[in-house]
Amino acid sequence: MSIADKSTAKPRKLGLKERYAHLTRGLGWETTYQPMSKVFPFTDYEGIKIHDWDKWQDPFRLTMDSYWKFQAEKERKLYAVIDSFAQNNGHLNITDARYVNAIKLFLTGVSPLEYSAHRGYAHVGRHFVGAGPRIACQMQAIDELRHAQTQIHTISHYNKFFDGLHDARHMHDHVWYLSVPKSFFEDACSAGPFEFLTAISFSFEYVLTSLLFVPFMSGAAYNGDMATVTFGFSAQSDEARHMTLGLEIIKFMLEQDEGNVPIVQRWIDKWFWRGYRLLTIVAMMMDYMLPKRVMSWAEAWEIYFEQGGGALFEDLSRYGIRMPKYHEVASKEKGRLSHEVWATFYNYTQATAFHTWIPEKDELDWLSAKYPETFDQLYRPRFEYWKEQSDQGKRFYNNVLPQLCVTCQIPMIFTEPDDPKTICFRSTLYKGERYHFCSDGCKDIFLYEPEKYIQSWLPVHQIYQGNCGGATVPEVLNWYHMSLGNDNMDYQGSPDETLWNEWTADRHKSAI
Amino acid sequence: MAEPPAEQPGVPDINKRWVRVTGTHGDFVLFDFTIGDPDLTVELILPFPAFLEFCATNHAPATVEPAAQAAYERLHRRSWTIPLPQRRPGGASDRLL
Ligand SMILES: [Fe+2]
Ligand SMILES: [Fe+2]
Ligand SMILES: [Zn+2]
Repeated sequence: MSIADKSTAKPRKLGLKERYAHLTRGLGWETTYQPMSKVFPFTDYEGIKIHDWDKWQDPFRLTMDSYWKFQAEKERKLYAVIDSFAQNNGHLNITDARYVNAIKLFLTGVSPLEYSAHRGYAHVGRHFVGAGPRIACQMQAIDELRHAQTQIHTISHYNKFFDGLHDARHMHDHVWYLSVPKSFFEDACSAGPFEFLTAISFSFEYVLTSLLFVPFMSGAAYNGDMATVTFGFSAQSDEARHMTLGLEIIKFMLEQDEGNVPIVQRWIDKWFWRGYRLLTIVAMMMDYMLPKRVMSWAEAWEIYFEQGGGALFEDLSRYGIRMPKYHEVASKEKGRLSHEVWATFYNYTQATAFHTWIPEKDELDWLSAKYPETFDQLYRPRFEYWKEQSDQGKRFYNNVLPQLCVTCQIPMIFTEPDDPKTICFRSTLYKGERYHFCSDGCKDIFLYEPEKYIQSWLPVHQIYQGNCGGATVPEVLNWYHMSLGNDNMDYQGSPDETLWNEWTADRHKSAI
Repeated sequence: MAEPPAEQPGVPDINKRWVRVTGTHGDFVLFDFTIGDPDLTVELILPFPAFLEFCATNHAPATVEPAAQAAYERLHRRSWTIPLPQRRPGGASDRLL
């Protein structure tokens, strides 16, 4: 047969299954020029033993061409919708401008995590020996990059009208409370590939993410923010794949070697607690920042963790896995978490890139009804007192920088599991230095890897060491790229409020 | 001279919205919300009265999945006995009026 004959012969078209097999098994081989251990240097040191990488099964078996085609089509529709909302002044349909503060928190605290997830998956997508998990991670890396992009594009519309949204990336890398999400992800990305997947794919995506996305998207939808709902469209169908990867990787490790069980359990314990602490901002958003509320944090915790998570861990018990350590502490805290956190942000409003406020009377009533055991006794009097003070021109600001937990980097504001009136205060000595923790969960994490956490970049320490632009509030805010009086402080009297009131007054006028 | 614009495939109409109830949880309704195109669907959860308000403000017709039918009807019946939420005026802005 001549060469010409060959080129005209029609190649047989491969089926999807065959194409997936070539992509995964066909492109993975035993290396000969270099030993496998040198090509994949990170697969052993965590102690996880894998005997047969081919046992990894990806139920989605997505090939690159079908991925591109599907996502491109979805993205085209998505951007058409995002454009329509922008052209129709979608921001005018929200309940009131206080709502936008939830968006500010999301853009500065969560969207950059999508980007970190992109980097993390791109990294581990290089480092697994098995081609199946490698491909799954690479596709998730692209998903997460798309998530970061659609969120930035959607929210950029709000940036035209509201303060605090102008420099999310810079803020994420510099601002005190944003070191909480930032350090969470850096902890995961600087771990080995198996711990990374346990942290992000399993503990975060599988166990905790519904607590972030479903209430957040529901809050956006109910408060008239259809622009934000559109990025839910982009993320949620990918999430099914991400959650599957999370469960598959756990089962794969557990089935491959019995020796993997205690290692995986320790990671689940650690990342449950890290993830739960990260979700405190969601608790606060649900209970305080939505003008029209969806459900309380306590209700969300019951539905999505106590019930949903309970069933999952019952299922995993056949592998010898138990519920994450300190899950009962999280349940004990559910009646106070959001109140303790909102109170803290109210105190430090001068240094936040969003506005705070004292809930209005009907909102306090809602909280009293949702938290019958805690709110009236412990928190309502506090908010009412601050309101009184503020009305007399004595608005309370906390001018002392708080002590931070070395592990989660949240100020030491949480209370004893069995006593909501006493600050939970843990500490340990390591190499002659004292380190402080907000909880037993955070202390355990430190004690297992102290050399990792003594390197933490703690915002308060950094300010006192003079590394954050200066020693005064205006200097530090300048370094944060925040404008004093515009991006921060109370909603009442803010430029956001003034503008919003003008718009609504105009609309009422033109309606008459 | 500029080329005529390439064929624009259909742009989803953001005013067309649908709701499909997939389940309930206590007083909450779990549902899929779609804008313009089945690809643009998101899973949401709202308390029953808020759910009704949401469908009304979005002019979104609701269907109920067969598996969720019985539970959804139970919520519907019960709603006559639970107090409906007070309509919250739009926060600070309404004080102007
Ligand atoms: Fe994502
Ligand atoms: Fe994800
Ligand atoms: Zn902590």
